[in-house]
Amino acid sequence: MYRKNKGIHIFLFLLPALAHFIGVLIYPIFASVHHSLFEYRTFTDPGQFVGFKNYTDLFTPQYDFGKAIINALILAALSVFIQLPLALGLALMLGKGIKGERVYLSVYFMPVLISAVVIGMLWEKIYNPIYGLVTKTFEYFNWSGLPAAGLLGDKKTALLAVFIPTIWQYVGYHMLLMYAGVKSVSPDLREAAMLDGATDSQINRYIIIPCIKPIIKVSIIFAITGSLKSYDLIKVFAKDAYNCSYKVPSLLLVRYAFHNAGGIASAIAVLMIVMCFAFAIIINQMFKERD
Amino acid sequence: MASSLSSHSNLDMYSVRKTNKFLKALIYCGLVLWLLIDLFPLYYLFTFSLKSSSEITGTNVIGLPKEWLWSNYSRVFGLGKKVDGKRLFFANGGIEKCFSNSLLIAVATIVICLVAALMATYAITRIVWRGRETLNSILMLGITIPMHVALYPIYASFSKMGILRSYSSLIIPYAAFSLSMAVMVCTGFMNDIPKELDESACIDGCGLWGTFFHIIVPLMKPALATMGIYIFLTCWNEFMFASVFGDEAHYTLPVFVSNLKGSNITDWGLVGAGLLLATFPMLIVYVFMSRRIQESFMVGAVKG
Repeated sequence: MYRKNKGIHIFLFLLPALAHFIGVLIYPIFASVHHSLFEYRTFTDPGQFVGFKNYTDLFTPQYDFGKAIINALILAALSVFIQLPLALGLALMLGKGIKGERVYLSVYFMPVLISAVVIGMLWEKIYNPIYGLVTKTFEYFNWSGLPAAGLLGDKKTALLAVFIPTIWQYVGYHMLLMYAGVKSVSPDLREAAMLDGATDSQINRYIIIPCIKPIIKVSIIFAITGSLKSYDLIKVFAKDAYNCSYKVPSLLLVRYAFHNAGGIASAIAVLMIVMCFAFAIIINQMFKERD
Repeated sequence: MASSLSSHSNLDMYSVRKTNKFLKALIYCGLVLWLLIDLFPLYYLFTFSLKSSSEITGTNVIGLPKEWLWSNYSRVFGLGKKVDGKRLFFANGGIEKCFSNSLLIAVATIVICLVAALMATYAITRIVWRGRETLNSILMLGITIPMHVALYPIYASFSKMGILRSYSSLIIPYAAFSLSMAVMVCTGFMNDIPKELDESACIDGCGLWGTFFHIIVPLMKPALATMGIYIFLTCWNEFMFASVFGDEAHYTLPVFVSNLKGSNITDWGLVGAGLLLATFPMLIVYVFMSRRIQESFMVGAVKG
């Protein structure tokens, strides 16, 4: 009955989604690629074609993007090798079925719901070099070794100081995903292994973890792309994007976008998309080969 | 007791009993330790939001406040408002205004995103046409694209269109960047609805739109609730677009909070009260809806 105009109807059904998707996701990608080949002196400047100059300029000390990428990669590595094992450990412990399971789960997940801005402001107070909790604790126990500028102010410890609140906030998220996976492992498998005399750690190692591999993969992808695009927390910590020892790509992107360097900002955007996709593909491939 | 237990929980008890005592104690220690790590910063925030500056900075760092200064909280409501023609601390509409902005933007985003996602999912999963699978995988790419990369181009085009510094300048990007996830989740739920329902509706004379509104939409309510919660939370906490695209009249709660930073560095009690007031509504909701909120975060990752 509706066969005749099927095409029009399909189009109408897709229209709202496509309008948003093309206008806000697809167009900006092409626009970014285009902008990244031009140099803009002011926001309204039509721009001058400079080829790949913006990309090469990015890595000069003037823009110092290399440092931002290294920082983001360090954060990603810390997330994958510290945060995720911690989350997996909590998920395995909770997934065994422990008294008060729901309470633990709900409290662990709670920080995910708090705005990263609030968390940044709170941890900034905790790290405050004069009045902060960390300094006061060191004073109380007469410990030494705390940098004079505080954990966040000192170049050597700054990145770690950024990572701690991130871990604090997101362990619960990854734990929740993995917990859902652990709970979905068929009880029969556990039982069979137990009857064969497997210990708890053997069950975890040979049954649970292989079963929740797909979820671990998703967690790794989220942790890496999340680190690559981290912004809120670092924006709250950073007084000045350029002179900040824990600068990350998106922090520089926003700074350059609104400091008359639209071409540079667009080049950063393009590199961020490439990196996010590259990591997603690499992780997918790594998990495929192992299966 | 045994009668109400499913085979699953029986098994769990069995496994716990089998674990040796030392290991069990260790597990509980680990769990409780992380519980304390999660709660302690919030306890610290709560106590310093009620203290005077002198207590926070010296005499009483981590104890309960000696004098409970609820006035810190009432002072937050004075922030950003004009007193005798002068603004207090920062230019901003005040916390209530930011709260209602956040609420309005989140609700509008949910409505727009879910309508668009439902319609698109219907066209992709229920109507047969060439290219629907390709379109679906293109839409799925959106999950990996970071929102940040759209900032500059969208800023430029919105300023040309003249809709910068308005609610829609935030609602449109939020809706678009939640769309891929919403389509993915809706696809999962819609595939569970039997195709026979569509066919019988068609035989009864329902067109595509009739089937969509009378059969699909009512059955998709659980998916809409789940996705709605997820979208709400992502909008509620979004900071980058909100701080760049908004102006005084359109600031959201995270921007309000970040404005506290420059206000007055030594007045920690005020800042703490502001942070808590901005966080509190969400935590209250979480207490009552923890299961649903957790599910909404799981569904996206697990179905992907």
